Amino acid sequence: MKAKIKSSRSFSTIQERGFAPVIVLAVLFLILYAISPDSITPKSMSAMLDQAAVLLLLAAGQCLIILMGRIDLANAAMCSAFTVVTAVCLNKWGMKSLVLTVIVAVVVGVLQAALHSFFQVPSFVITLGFFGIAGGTALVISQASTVLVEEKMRFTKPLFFATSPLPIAFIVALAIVGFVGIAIVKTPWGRALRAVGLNQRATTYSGINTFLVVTSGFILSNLFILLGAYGNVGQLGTASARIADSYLLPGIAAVVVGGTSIAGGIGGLGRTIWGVMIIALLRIGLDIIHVPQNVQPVVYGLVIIAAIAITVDRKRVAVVA
Amino acid sequence: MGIRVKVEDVSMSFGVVHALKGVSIEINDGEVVGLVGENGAGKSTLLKVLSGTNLPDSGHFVLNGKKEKFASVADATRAGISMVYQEQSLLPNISVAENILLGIEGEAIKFGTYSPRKVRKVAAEYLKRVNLDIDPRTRTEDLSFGTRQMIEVAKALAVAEFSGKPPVVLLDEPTSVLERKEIKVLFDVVRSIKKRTSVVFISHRLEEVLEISDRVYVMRDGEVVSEVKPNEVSVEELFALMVGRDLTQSYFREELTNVPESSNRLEVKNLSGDGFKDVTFNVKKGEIVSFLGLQDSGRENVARVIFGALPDKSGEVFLDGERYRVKNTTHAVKCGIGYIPSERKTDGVVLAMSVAENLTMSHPDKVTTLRLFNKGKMNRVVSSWIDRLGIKTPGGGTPIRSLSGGNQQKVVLAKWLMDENLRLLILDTPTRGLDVGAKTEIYAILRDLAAKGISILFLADALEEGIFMSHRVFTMKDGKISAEFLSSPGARPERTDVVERML
Repeated sequence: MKAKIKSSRSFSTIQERGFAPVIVLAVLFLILYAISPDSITPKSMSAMLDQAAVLLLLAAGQCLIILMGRIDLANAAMCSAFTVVTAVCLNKWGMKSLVLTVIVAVVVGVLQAALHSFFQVPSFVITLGFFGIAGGTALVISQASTVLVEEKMRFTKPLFFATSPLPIAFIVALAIVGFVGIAIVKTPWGRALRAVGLNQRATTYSGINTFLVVTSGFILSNLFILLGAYGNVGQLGTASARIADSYLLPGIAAVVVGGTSIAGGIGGLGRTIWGVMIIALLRIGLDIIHVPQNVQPVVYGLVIIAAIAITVDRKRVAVVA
Repeated sequence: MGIRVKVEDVSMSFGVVHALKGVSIEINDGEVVGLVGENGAGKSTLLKVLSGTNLPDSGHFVLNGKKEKFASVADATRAGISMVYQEQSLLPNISVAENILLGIEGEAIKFGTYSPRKVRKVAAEYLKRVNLDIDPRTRTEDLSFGTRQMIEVAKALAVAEFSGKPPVVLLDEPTSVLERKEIKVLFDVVRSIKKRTSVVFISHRLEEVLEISDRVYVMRDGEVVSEVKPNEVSVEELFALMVGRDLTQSYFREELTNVPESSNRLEVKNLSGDGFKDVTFNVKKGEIVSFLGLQDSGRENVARVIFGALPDKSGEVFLDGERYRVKNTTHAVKCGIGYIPSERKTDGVVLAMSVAENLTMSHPDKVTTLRLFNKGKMNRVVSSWIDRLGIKTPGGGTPIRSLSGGNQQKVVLAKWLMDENLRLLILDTPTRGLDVGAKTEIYAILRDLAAKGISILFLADALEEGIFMSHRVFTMKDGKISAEFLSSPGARPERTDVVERML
């Protein structure tokens, strides 16, 4: 009765405590170093991390949604749209208009949460809809062409093109993500977020306003996406309607590889940071072994499936709402 | 009446836990044998040994005078022994007939082809045996839970009879998830099949065991400690045998009964909502009011509306004389209302979280400083509640899923009790599925709360519980309050009077 066989217990402990991604990262690093020691230099690592800043922000946004037991398929497309909106705003009204972009992000978050909650439509349906809405809107606003940003973002641009050997952009993103990550662990709000992902009914019956919790999660997620969009503008100086679309798979991959349960409730932003570094390193590795860009999504797809297959808790029925 | 199966000196251990220690029982032809005991006493293990699921370390069975050992479920089935599982084992997407004869199609398969007509015919006979009047072609998932439970019994009968021997059917807590009406049907079936069939029956509801059994074995710590005849013992005595303590206290802890204050805590006036209409009642300070009713009586929804989990349609609610307009559960909790849902595992606790996280779920402000969780405070508060309610757990960080049902329920109670402004606690069948030891502890906690002036709205799981635990009993029927009874130690309403107003 009590003494059930606990096979692979050591594995599951590593998994539960979130050590697995650290080990994976180390192994990946060693493999990369073995294949091509020349490509691992402080400079290349710093560049890698700077390039991963946008991925980190998008993955952090995705992680919040996945923690709540939901998924955001619009994540990357929304980033494209926000990038276009930001670029157009900057060109037309200058830096002050960034307030407008924040309002747009908040409204999108509220809308997603409200539609999801009131009509009880699964999040993947809602966000699939927003995937289309974001893509179309971005095309309309950008008039289906590349928008050059005349007034570059004064405060994000230096982050990316700094001569400092440190990956400034990544560090800034890390600080923001880390701050929210700590809030998830240390505050009742963060715990409610995880509780919603584990068992929304029990959370409601505990007197927690789960609608507000879910809404806060969607708003925050879209603010992360907006920061990712700022990063794009600063980094590239241009915006187009599909500019960040390819981030969807690597973003989800980073979350699950980091050890956040796809079924919700377990994990957090700390793990996602490790996951982002794994994906960033993997990306370099794929370049080193000459995997063409077009084939790389195949790898991310396989990584997602493998990571979930290995880590999924089969005792819990994993349904993404 | 001969001996159908004899279990002799069976022992079994799981690691260091001795689940069964030299257990011997007899099951006679056409007899209903009750098995009672606290959780962990070994009842379910014994049934699993009988059904061939668990292989004992030592001991044997005697069948027709011959010593035998079962090596698998198939061996037990060949001996005519079949089990009805707590978790239903029917396949939802095939017909009732196919389910009943699954794996024992016998003559229904000829030359490798399957004759649905034959299956239906045989299945229909078994359905008749369990008094079910349904088409054997019905898809199983279209039936109610209670009906499916009866089909499980039919299936067990069919499996056991396939052996050609008089069947022995093992029922492991078949009633814990059934409604009262359904339980009655099940018992009628048990009575009608027992001419040819022996039944072994486990239940945590002692009244039921006494009602249906011919003989009862009492188990404690893996041993059979006594064997009693139902007409010779009362629920209280049976309970005392089970827990083995010298009980100066009673099962329902009536000695802790308090006198409620005269002022009203909760006043409900003409409240209507989904499934109930025009409900008017009140609960005084420090009063335990129980609600009894069948599944569709509407009592659950009354409770949910007061807690804000369901919207109301019309009517007024007053809390301590003030108009209380409930918006949602968050608002209810702010007003000092707590709610313990019926489905503990899905609604009551977040299974994947720790004891501490569950315990502080509703009032996290008690364990935070500047809105951040404070580890020291958390440990202090959580361990004080673990001590106060006697929650058996290695610590606050333990995942709540590893606790027993009774201890999980105590965590859910503590979640509300930590609110010093708690005014009204609503409990929807809080003792369902708990063993009697845990039940009596919960009863004591409720009495203690009432004595402290907290009002309790109690949707009882069993009739006795509702009658004995409360100061007043309301019965509900078809969404309306059908009667009100006063209840105090020595002056309890009659069971039959109460049941009459429920049906």
